[in-house]
Amino acid sequence: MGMFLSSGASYNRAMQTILRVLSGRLVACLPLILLAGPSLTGTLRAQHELTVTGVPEEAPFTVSATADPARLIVELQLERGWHAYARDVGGGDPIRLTMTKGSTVKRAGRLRLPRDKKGELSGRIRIEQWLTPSAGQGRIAARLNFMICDPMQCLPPIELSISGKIEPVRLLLVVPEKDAHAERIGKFLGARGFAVQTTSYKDVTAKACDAQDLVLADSKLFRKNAGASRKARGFPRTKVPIVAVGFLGTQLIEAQGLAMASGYI
Amino acid sequence: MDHLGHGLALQHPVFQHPFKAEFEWVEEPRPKHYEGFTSPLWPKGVPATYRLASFEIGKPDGFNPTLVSHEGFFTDVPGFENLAEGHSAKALGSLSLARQGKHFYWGYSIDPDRMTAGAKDTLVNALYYMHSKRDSLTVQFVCKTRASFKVYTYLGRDSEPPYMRGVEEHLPGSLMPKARATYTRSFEGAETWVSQYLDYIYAGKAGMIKDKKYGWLFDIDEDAMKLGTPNSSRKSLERWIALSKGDQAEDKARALRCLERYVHPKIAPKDGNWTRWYATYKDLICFIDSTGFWWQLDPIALERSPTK
Repeated sequence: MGMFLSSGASYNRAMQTILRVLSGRLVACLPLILLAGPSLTGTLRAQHELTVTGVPEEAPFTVSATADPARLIVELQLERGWHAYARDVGGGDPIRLTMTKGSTVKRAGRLRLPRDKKGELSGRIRIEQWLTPSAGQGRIAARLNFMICDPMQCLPPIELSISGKIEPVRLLLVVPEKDAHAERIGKFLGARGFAVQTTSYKDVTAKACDAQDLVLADSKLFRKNAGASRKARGFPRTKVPIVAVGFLGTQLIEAQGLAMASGYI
Repeated sequence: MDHLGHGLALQHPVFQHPFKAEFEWVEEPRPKHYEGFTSPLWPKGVPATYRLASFEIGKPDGFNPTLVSHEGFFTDVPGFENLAEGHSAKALGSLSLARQGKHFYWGYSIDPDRMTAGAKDTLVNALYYMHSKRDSLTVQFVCKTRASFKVYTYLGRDSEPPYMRGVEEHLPGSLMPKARATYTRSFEGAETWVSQYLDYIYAGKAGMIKDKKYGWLFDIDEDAMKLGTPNSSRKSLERWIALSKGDQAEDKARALRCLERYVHPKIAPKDGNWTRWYATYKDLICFIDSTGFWWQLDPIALERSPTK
């Protein structure tokens, strides 16, 4: 059975590398560059871990897989001296992904592998497959085929099975008014893999934002937001990403003091 | 801004994954007020005829706003993504789709009844893209960048009558009182001032003035000018470090003041050993105007993972 690593774990490793370089002094620097501060143990909450089976005994690699409604990510970590193939260069079978019976999601586009001029991949290999998102909870079932070789030998072809649930991305839609316009947006996004909750600028809280994976802060046209402007300026600081729309979006961004603000000239 | 966008960064994931966004395009002659100018998405300027993508079905009954990158507010932040410009009556460089850290700006309607097919796919892609940015680093804005001063040299210059408030009021209003004496209030004066001082100005430091209308006021760094070291260049940083070890007392003092002024105290060496400090930090730092004119940790250095 392969070892599971989360995206958060890979982020943490990057952070640890930098922390080592800076001999511990980075901690004091963080307020300089972070506004809300990234969670050093942060993970992509809607990127669910999947089950990977079929790893041979004593295989010189570890593997993990995660997915959200739009993307499957497989990470292979080969031991030093071993390589896999991104394309057919006459060595071993290149990495190939196939959806199998029971999968409710479809591939969107080609398999994405790291670029390598020689067609050989070593070390940490991130394999990415975009999916066509659909409404509600889904299930992914896929097969990953590849070969790995060292300078002297190739192991027999490897076939891994990847499976698990796909949960919708939790999205908080913040609107000036809960009206038909807001309903249309919620319905549209619901059909594309998002679990949408709707609230208003008046009622939104940091806690409600951070209980989701993502915030979408909507706006109507300039001067048509029925008093929501002041609320946009007081929008909560969130840990989750914000997609800020239109006029209220510029006010939200400016009020949060970002290096992405409109201004006076 | 209306319902159109141009200069789209079409290879960016927000236009590619999971849906390949297909827009309806219209061709238009380049507006007169775009002539002779460049922007982050049009580094060589807009051609005589250019394409615009429809994000909404028809013109909105009012105005969509844009983020005004041409004013030099934020585009110097490493990792900032300019993805589309709006069809703006104001100036080239008005962003309608952009990202910095965990924040994404969408300048059009997201009502499915108003969005075009291309806009719908792009919005969904942008949401999935941002979903993966939970750990991205949003950088705090402190002051306008020096690029904002360039705008005054042309904004409204060809209008009839010319728009004079920029050069007569706003440019000098953005300077520390003493620095205003270096400036003549005209378009020609703005051009001369920008060519002479732009590489040496700074703002946002302790002891400087934060004006209610113009924000942090700018001053001219006489130390950097005397040394001939533009304050944001890496060569200047390396020269200051070299001079700080030298025996020319005046140059050494100027160099040390520059190091103190521009290297953020949170990363500056406590023991004054600038050479050793630079060997450690060389690949991890960048200069950013909009955070307060600092050499500081590069925000994207912290985002890099071993696989990138």
